[in-house]
Amino acid sequence: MHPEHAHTAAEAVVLATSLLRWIPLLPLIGFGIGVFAASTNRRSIVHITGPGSVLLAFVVSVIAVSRLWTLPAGGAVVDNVFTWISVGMLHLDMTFRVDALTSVMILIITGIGFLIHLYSLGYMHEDADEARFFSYLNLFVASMLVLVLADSLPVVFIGWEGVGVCSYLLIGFWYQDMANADAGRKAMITNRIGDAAFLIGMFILVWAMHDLGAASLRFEDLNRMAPQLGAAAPHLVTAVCLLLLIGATGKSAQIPLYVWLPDAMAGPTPVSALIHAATMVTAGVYMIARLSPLYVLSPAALDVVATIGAVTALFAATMALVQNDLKKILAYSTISQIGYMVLGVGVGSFSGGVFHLMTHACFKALLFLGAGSVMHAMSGELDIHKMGNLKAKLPTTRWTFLVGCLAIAGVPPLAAFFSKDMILEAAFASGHVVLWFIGLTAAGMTAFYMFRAYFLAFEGESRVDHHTEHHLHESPPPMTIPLMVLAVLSIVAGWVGLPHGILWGDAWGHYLAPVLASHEAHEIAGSTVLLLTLVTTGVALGGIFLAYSFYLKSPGTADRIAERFHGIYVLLWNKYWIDELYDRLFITPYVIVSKFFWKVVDAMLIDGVVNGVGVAVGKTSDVWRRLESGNVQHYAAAMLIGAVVTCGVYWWLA
Amino acid sequence: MIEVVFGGAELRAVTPLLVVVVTAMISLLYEVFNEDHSDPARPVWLSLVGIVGGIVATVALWENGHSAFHGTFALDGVSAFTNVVCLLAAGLSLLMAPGYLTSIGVRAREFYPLVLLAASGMMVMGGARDLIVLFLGIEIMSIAAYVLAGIHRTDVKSGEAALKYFLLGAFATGFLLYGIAILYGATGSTGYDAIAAALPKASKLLVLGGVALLIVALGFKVSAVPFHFWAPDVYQGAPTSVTALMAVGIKAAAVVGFARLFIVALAPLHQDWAMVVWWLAVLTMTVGNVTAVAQNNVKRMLAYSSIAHAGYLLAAIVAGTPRGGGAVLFYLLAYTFMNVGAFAVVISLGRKGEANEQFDDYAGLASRQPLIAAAMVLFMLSLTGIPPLVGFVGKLYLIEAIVQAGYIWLAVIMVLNSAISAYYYLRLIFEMYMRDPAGPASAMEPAPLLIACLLLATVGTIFFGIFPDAPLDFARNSFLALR
Repeated sequence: MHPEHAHTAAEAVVLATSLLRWIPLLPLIGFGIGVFAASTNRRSIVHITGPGSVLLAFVVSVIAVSRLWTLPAGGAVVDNVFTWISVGMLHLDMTFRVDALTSVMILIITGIGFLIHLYSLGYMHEDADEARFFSYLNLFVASMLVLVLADSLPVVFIGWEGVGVCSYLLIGFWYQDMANADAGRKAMITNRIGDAAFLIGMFILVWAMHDLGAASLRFEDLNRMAPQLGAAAPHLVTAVCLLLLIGATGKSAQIPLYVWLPDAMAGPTPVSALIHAATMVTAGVYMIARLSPLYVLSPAALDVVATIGAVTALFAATMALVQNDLKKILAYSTISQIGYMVLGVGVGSFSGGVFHLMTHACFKALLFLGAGSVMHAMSGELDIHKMGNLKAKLPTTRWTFLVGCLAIAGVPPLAAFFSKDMILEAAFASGHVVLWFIGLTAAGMTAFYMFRAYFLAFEGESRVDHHTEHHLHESPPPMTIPLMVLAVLSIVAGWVGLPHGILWGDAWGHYLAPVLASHEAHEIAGSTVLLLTLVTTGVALGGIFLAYSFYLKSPGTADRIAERFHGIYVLLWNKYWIDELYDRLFITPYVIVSKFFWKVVDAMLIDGVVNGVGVAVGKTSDVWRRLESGNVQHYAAAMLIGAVVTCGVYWWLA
Repeated sequence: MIEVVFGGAELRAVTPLLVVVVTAMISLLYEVFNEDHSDPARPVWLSLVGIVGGIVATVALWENGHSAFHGTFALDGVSAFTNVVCLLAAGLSLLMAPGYLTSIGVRAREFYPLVLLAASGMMVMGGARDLIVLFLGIEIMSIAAYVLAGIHRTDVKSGEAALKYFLLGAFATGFLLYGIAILYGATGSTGYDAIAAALPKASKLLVLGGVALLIVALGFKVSAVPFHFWAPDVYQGAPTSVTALMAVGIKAAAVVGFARLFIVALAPLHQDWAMVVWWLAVLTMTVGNVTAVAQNNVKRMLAYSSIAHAGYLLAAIVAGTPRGGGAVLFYLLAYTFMNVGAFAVVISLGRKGEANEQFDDYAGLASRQPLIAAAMVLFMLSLTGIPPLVGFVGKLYLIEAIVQAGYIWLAVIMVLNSAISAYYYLRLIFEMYMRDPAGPASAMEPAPLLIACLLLATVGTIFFGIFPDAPLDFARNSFLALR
């Protein structure tokens, strides 16, 4: 946590190219075509342009990343598109930049994004509003790409707002149902609260930078100036970090702004997959990692970050324990998993946080698309108590879902085993033993609730009703192929970041090291690492075993326990009454205050003044209009009077 | 003694002018011998060649610091920018003309060469570095404009507009000539550089008297209050395509003439003239905006809006800085696109025998002509100054220049005026989108050339709103190079 560790490669090799603009532009063009197609009757064109534009963006991303790899470590590929704002000291370019961190993000967004688009081809096949759906989906991907490609905070903010709007549009996609529209609004409003904090943080930051003589919000400048900033105004840095953190809690669904995410499953399932895996929720983690040189200057802010992450991880996991809706379970698991990422960046393991972000993108997309496949087969039913033994009818979905569950539970050698381990190890090593223990507990719960869902849905006896049973079928190839690809990824994605000394070791950390702030490394003994790994794995397996014995071996155990701990069960079932608490604490008083402002301040005071001015202007206008008599002599006279007055003024002056 | 010179610099200076004027002459002769009047759009093409040729010649030949004819005329950055804006305005007016003129029954083929001649006058005004050349430009432009205003010979209103414009214009010319004479008497020269150099030693009473008369005369051309009374009557009475040319091209040329004279030649007197122009600007924008509120005729509303915009432009001239001059030039470009666009929409709704210019005629336009209504929304929002349209950027840099020169109150008054203007611009949007159509859906489609004009205006309004850099930098550098 010393400033001198915060240096990143400032004089890195930079490759200029006009290639990068095409990465967000292609999905944006797809969006344009989709909008156009939606208003004509050539809707099927989106079957090609929707996934196709994202696939092309993926190809361009791969080319860009391969160019990046030809540069020495710490290099970057940049594309200066145009000067956006140039006012006074503030000069702002629309510039895209790919460095190690961004390269990871664009590959996730376009790669997983493409698979989700492909899946949507099958999933949304019967929906009349397909074109609108694909256009929003494209816009979502484009916004997220702008967010991660941006080389300055204001450009990030464009994408930041863009994903906010798209989430609103997509969560409320089936807006004819009031509940869906409400869910969309909830996401929007919750995010706006975070966005406001984000904006204030950004303003303070540019002000502080201006005081140092460099009014810039480019990441390069911010990271370069960070040590001076920390020395000049340490409290300001903490304030900025905390404000940006509030912004992150909105986008990444952390305490206290997580409430929108569980409702966000109101949208079509591919949207949930896109929000939860590839785009929106990762934005906050990405932003903190991107500004890591700033965050390491404020140990206090980092501790808050870590605590919020750990507590969210546990808190969300407990709520997931009792949910019966498959997508809700996944939603809470996302909140919990993002909590791990936030914990990771909070304890200074920025590469660990981004690592978990990457692996999570694979298995969470897999799980959500798997849930969508189940939903597809079950005619929309999502209650796991009404499923059972689906493995017989849905073999591909079952196997891939199982892989996803193993991956998220942290069973070696699947993805989350490595990434979650890296975070927990960093938490332990940096002395946050309490947070480590919280994370460990949440890991056990994760294994338990995921396998609870798996056992209830796919194993055991069928509880599917007759009518649905009749329709049970495996999903079409456009849906199963993405599942299989994602399953493979969920197995292998973790292998890039092995523990030190094994094969290629932590290649991941080395790759990202030039762009992330290096936190003071706490060396811990190899034997301790091994012990920690054994403990984590043991807890994960324990969770799975518990789920097995509760729900498969002796069904009914769970009900008995729920009976015994009735109070806790009710508490969890009602999600700690947080929604109700927010309603009482914020929404009701807000409505009262709003009504006061509406009826008294607005309707009486402001409208009075405004209408008064309006009436006055109108009256004056009426009078002045009559001056225009149409008589040319009058006009000439007016000119003459004007001339006399002008000359008179000058005569008097001279 | 003045020796007659005609070298490379002179040729360079007059080539864009020659292209436009010669095209006008060819066009005039062609129409004398041409018997086939079946295609009303044909004369447009020839004139457009002149317009495009003028723009190409300007772009190819301009250079900063250029001066010709003993320093009386120049094809520098400022005049190049003015040429492009005025030719753009003329070209767009030409595009909207043929279908419209046919529909109101005007067969006068001299319309097209007259537009070119008016444009050539504007170009002379933009490049004038001498009071006599400025006077020449104003007269070349104005005489063509008087005829154009009355080109609808069978329409009483058109004739009235032409006569009023001519009488008051002649009156203003008197002030102009007298002002030039006094200034010449005081400084011994009509050239801008020589005037600026002679000012410190000249009699202040004489100089200020001359400046006062010049303010009156140029104030008339830019339609500044209280020399603006002609504008609403003339704008409403003249055929709409002529109104567009007057509201945009003539105003642009006059404003550039004003700016160059006051910012360059009269720079040493800035304190003195700025005070009067300050009041002129405030009066102009306030009277323009407030009076526009009560109008029920869209063309007349646009006339008052054009007066208000003259006020904004004068406000940036008050700043007296190159930055202000650059902002003025950029705003003229912005204004060309959004205002010509608005007039094009007005034309597109006109039918033979019914002008459809009242606000009521726009009720429910969105359901009858969705695309045209959407374009009008764009132009109205841009005129109000809403981002990301060009009107916003233009106004932003006007205000920036005004604030930078220290005229905070002027900027505040301008912003308040913008708020008033929102009322009548948005009122039109309200009519188009929130009210039910009064009449049945009209089946008439706008002429292809008019669509091209609308399209160009729309693209310009959006494009330069998002990418203002290139013209803005050019405009600023041009004024910087004058000093």
